[in-house]
Amino acid sequence: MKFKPKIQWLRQLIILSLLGVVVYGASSKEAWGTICDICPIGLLGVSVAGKVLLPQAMVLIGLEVAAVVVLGKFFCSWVCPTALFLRNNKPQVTTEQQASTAKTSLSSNVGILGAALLSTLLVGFPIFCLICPIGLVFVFIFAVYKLFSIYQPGWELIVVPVVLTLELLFFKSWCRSYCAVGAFMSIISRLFRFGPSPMIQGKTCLADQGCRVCKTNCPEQLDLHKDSSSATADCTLCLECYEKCPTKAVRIGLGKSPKTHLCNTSINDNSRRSSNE
Amino acid sequence: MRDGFLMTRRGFLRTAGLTIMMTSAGGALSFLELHKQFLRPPGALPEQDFLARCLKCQKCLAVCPTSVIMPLSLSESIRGLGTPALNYKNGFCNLCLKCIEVCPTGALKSLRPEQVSIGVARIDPANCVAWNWMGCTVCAAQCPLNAISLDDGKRPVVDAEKCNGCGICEMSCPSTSLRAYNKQSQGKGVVVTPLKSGV
Repeated sequence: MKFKPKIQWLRQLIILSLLGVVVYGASSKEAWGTICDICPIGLLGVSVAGKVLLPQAMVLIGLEVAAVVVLGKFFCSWVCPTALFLRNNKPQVTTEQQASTAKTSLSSNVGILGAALLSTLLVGFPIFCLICPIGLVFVFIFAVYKLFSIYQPGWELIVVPVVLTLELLFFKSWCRSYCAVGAFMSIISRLFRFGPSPMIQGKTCLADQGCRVCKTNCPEQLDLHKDSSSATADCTLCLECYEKCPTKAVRIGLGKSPKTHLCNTSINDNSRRSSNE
Repeated sequence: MRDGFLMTRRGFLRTAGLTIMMTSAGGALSFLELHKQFLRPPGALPEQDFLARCLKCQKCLAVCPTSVIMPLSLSESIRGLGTPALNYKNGFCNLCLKCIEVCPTGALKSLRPEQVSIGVARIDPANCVAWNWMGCTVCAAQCPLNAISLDDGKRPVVDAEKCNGCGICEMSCPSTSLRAYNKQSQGKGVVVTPLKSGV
């Protein structure tokens, strides 16, 4: 078997490097901090809880909005520490019903974001940060740091991994259903998305012969054959579809799929489930 | 159309459920931990405002040259888990005030070194070697502000007005080493405690 590097390894390497940079910064007295200092939910949360407008925070959030407009929810696959455990699922075939209940909508995303900010306003501190898996990963990292610098272990060394496991495995749809950071990005990418996206290149696509590889390998279960901009609003640019397509029909490009390709049927049809791959 | 604009019933229940759970959990934590005070980095806002602004980004921890800033553990605070607090086990605050410079949200407000008031040192007579036995003068000798003086019996007394809570006394107190084998006396003879300046 020829050695074939996977894009998944690159994603995990980048995320691990980011965590390494955070740890290195702390041990060498550099004020880099964790990524929580640029988190839009954190910054909005402290603005709401502290009842204050922070101009630097607003500028930062503006830049992040621009990044999502161009690169979609790339954060989820390339920066989020939980992607070390998630987004690497084995391909799975879901039924039409499962696929549709898993879809998010603009209102549900606004709802999640609103829930995080409203509860923050009511309780007076950024409560979402306490349950956010990203925040918890960093709490754990610094609890280890505390253990090794002043030899004081804390219960969070056990509790945090347990809570993370519950959130990410038990609530399998954490990312889609509860993550406020993801909701923030989804709202933006649903409304304004001008940048590279995966699309079907054309003649070599085998969807009308029953191939579903791009969809079953997509962690978001997206259907590239749908002709609507919200079809790929949740795309995290993980590049699994690009990597796994057997005929290399998927490309990452700007604009929409060429009209000449679009299959006659979208690939939600159960009766034509893929028999290969 | 499901895939577009409107929420499903399940989505609405999820949102409502999440709001209710987070609000009640957060409210309960705020109520239970309302009077907890910690040794916050210099320039910290009053505790409730500090917790409203702290992102737990650990920038202050990262930049602290004496490594006294440590994240709070679960047993110390749930609401404040991961927020920075000073721990004088192996270090003290040298008033470099770099933590204030790097804080991105203004949880630490800029001030001059002489305005710093992290906490106040308190002698613990049960653990203090001078109070409990005799002869130790380390904290009084180490204090850079001369906030600790020796009374007639050569026992240390803290002048709360002068003390800024830097922690040199606590760090250098030898009681924990001298009395490591004494079950009755396991703590430091002088401990910096948070100011009870209200919520």
